Amino acid sequence: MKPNQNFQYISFKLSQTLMGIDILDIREIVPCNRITRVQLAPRFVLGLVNLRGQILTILDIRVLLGLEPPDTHSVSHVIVFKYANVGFAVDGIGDVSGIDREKIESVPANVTPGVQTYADAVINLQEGVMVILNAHKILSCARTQPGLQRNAHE
Amino acid sequence: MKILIVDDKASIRSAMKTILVRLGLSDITEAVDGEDAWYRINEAAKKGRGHVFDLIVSDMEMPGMTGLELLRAVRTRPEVQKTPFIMATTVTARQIILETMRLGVQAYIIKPFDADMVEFKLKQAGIL
Amino acid sequence: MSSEERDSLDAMALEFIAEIKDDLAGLEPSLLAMEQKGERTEDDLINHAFRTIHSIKGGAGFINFKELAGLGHDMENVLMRLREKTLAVTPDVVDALLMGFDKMKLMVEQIGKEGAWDYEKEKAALQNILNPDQNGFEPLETVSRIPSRQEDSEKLPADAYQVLKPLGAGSVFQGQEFLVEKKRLDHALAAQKFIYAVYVRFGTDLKAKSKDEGAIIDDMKSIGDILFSDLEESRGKKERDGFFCVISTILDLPLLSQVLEIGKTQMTLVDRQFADYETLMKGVSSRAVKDKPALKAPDTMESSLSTADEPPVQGPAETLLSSASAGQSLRINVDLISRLMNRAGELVLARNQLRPFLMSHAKEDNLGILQNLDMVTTDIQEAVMQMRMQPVIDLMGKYKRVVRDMARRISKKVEFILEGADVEVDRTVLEKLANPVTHLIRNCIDHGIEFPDERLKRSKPETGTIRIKAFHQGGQVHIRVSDDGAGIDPQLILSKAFEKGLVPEDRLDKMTDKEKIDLIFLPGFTTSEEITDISGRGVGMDVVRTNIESLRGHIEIDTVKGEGTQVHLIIPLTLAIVPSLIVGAGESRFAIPQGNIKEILYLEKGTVQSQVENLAGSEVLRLRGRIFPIIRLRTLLGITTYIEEPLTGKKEEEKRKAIADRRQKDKADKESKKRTREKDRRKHPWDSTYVIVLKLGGNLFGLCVDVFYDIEEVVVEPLSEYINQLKCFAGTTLLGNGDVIMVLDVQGIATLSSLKFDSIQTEEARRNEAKEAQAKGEKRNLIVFTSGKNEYFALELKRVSRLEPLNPKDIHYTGRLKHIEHKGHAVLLFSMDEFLPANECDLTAGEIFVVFPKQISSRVGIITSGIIDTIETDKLIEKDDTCPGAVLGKLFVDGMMVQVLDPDQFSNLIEQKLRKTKGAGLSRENTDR
Repeated sequence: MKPNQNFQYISFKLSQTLMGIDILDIREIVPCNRITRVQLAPRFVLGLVNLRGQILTILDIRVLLGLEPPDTHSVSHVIVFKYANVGFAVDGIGDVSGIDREKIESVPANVTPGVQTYADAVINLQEGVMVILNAHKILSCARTQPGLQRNAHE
Repeated sequence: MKILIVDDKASIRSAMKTILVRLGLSDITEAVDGEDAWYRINEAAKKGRGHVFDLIVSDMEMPGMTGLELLRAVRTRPEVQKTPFIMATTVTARQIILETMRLGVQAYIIKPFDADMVEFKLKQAGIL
Repeated sequence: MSSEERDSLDAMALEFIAEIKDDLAGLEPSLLAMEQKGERTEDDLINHAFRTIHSIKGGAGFINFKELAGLGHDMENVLMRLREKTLAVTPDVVDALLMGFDKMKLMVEQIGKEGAWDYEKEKAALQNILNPDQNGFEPLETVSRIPSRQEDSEKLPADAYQVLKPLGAGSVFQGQEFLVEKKRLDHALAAQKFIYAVYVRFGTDLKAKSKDEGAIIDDMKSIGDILFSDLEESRGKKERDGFFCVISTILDLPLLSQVLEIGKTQMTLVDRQFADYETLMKGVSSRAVKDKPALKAPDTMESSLSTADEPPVQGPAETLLSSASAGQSLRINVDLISRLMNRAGELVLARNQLRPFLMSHAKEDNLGILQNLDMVTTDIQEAVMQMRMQPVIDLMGKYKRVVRDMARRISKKVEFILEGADVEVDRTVLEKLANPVTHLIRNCIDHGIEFPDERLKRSKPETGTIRIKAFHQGGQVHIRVSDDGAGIDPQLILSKAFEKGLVPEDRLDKMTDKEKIDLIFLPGFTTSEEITDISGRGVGMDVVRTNIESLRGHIEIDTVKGEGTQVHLIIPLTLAIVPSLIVGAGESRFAIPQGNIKEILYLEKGTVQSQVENLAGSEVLRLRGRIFPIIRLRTLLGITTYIEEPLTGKKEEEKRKAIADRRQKDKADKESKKRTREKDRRKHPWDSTYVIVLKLGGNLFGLCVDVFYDIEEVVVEPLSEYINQLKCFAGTTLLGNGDVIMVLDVQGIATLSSLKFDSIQTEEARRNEAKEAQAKGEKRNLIVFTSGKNEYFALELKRVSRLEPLNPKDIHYTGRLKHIEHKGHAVLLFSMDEFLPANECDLTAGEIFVVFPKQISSRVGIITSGIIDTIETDKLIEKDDTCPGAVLGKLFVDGMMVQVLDPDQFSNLIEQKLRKTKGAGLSRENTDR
């Protein structure tokens, strides 16, 4: 967590779950157009997208977090990370909000192992509990997903 | 006009090649030393008359087969015996020059050379 | 000079400077070592230092750095004396050298600085070390004017001669004139030779050097032609201290001086010819103003010494390098270049996208714009790519030395040949290739090339050859490292791997030779105990393979035991633009690099069934006599297809899993795999399909796709870390319309589909052989005979030596053995029932014959109760296991069942019988009772 007073995040919905991510980790948010499927890729790779000439890899966070199995592409937007040509798909985009750091709580124990791995904290909001994801951990998922990856080749 | 440039230094080969290309001679093959050159000469000879080199420009001091040894090899092999040969070198040792001249070269260029020098020598050698 | 020319000259200069810097870097340690070792300095070290200085001197000359060249020259002289051992390595000597080195380093670092360099101190120090050279010529004497004439045995008419006047300022030539034969002169001029007048002094040039006139005349003849000589005239004349010659030669003045060992003041060009050449010879730097020298040989030599025909031309300086632009090299961050490259690639694509718009609005001026855009874009792209490309020889050239040194160290004779030295490869790729290629070469020398005597024993040339061949093909760089050494023995590899527990016992018999050799790549194959001094530590073929694979390349080994080994590295040019065929399978599109495509076939629905066969477990197609496996892209990638219900027209998604997926899960369950494959075949009849015939090394295979589009120039982006483990893809790219599509990796696809090219070829070969054998349909002649009642046997006529009629009465019996006398010898007789379950031979039959089979002693015969017939048959009689050993099979001839004997088996049985007989102690000679 950044040592600043005010934590700014962008909220979004993923499989009915309310989520957020630090805006400092985000490059931009784009409406999701055509995603090219990559056959034989691990399940957490949704596909590839062309963003003004750059090819981005789009991850499926639902798979990483262990949320209910993804149905066919009800994707509205893609959130693109700052550090790499990688993004992830979401169902709906909310606003950018700020919150005092004191209000942020650690992730409770009764969550799925996926959430444990990729989320940093939770925020209790009026609408419900928002899970705050850690961008860097998501980006390095390729190295930490033994079961989900490499399911289809020699 | 197929030309073979032989020198173990890339910079020299590059310089010579640039000069030759500018003089309108663009079919240039490079060899990195005597053995490489000899190999290529033989391969070309095997393919027949149309493929042999029309000119060989060679350095003298190279690891392994020297320019002089290359010249000797060329002058002893019937199919390529008459190939015009130009020596481009820093060597000015008397015996070497004598030996080279006895075997027969069309020009003896002393390094460093430049475009004009090369052009002149090529004319002297009857290439241009 | 155009700016373009100037730029390329500058680029050349930069190259030279970079080399000088490298040389300097290598020199310092040598000098320091010399300082340390003093008298004990090895020759190699001195030689190395000498060569380096020589190289620096040469480079300095090229970039016209006079002071550097001069200092280099002085240092070179010292090192030469050290080399010749006429000077010892003393602290003073090394001091002077190091001082010179320091100055050189400074000069190079501050190259391009204003003003001349002062190196007097260093020069003095160096010259102090050497004794001053005795270089000067003796002061010139004035020579009285004597018109000289050629001594001719044959008198020629006066106009056959030409008068030549020397041009030189040397007083020895004052007022001299020479008469030379015009014809010979013209000949020399036509050949553009230099014509010099040379004065040879009897004392200083000949006697002092222990030469006689003949020797110097010989030398002159070696290097050119003598057009004039007054040797005869001047001999014996007291007032003459030498003689004149006029010679034509291609050698420049300095060289001529060197060869003849005569001072330059005693030689000069004649007349106006090549006056400009002297300026040429003065050196590159001084020709600031000249354009090109007047090189035409004048028609007559009678033109006077008037001023130049051409007015001096004020032209741009034609120096190789103007010192102002002796630039510095620029260090560029590699990432920056990558970024630039990507942008350049995108620029190309953007242009592609723009093109249709421009074309549709085409007017005169638009087209010009488009062309310009094309040119600029391509240029940028090429330039950027060039920045990163380096010729392969930059890496490989060094191996020549490496090979020589290594081979010498272990007393082997190896030569190194590099083909395709100018093939260019991305810089980082080249760097990463260094280690694997070095290892391969070490292997060649260590394990591949045999020792010289062993090679001779195998009728190989004593010197082994290691060859590296580099070439571009199909958007990839190929590097082949081959040797003509001992090759790799698959069995040896197999046993070694088995010892290390790398191969389970049940696989031992089932591996092909290629699979055995590939065991080399298993981690753990090479252990540190086996690393010899040469091969280095910790590098095995597995590391080599990993290195190559990290470049997204592949490695293949071809080897023939006793003949040599070839290791083939194939590395993609990932950052290049690769022309690719766009194909479609299902709703997805893919790009296939054009270089891999051999051709495209179209199989119509319905015909496919008949054209696709099954061989060694794979589906194969036959094309012009060649057979190759085919893969359905859809099946491979698990692309869902939509089956249209014929009745309802409803499209239903076919839920099939990719072959690869399935394989992973069903790995243990072979049965279900088989079942699913069969099910596939039944459920999924072929639709019309395009077969893209791809080539992979020497193999072909077909990729079935639904449709194909155009060939497009495609920038291949490497796969991101999340998907780069997928072998079937080489990268991704953007199409003109902005779609992202996958680029297929042909090798990866073959691997993923477990294409067993070997098995297919072997199976095909086997089938062909069988067919041939059948086709040959040799008509064999069989002789059919009976033994017991109603029993028929046959033997190939060509295995029968002869037949003899037999009178039963002539049979002698010895116990159970039967003999007859034949041509004075006793012949053992056997009957069929003694070998086979058969009826007893019926000796009461009318005509009894003895069949003498070939290959068995002529003293053995087979009793038959009758020869029925000789028949001709082309039937292939296949081995029938239900028949007793000696019988090959059964034939039905005219309703009779004939047991065809297997001649070899039969012979064996007879041999056995004979041995038993002998063993029983009965002599065959004993015929009579």
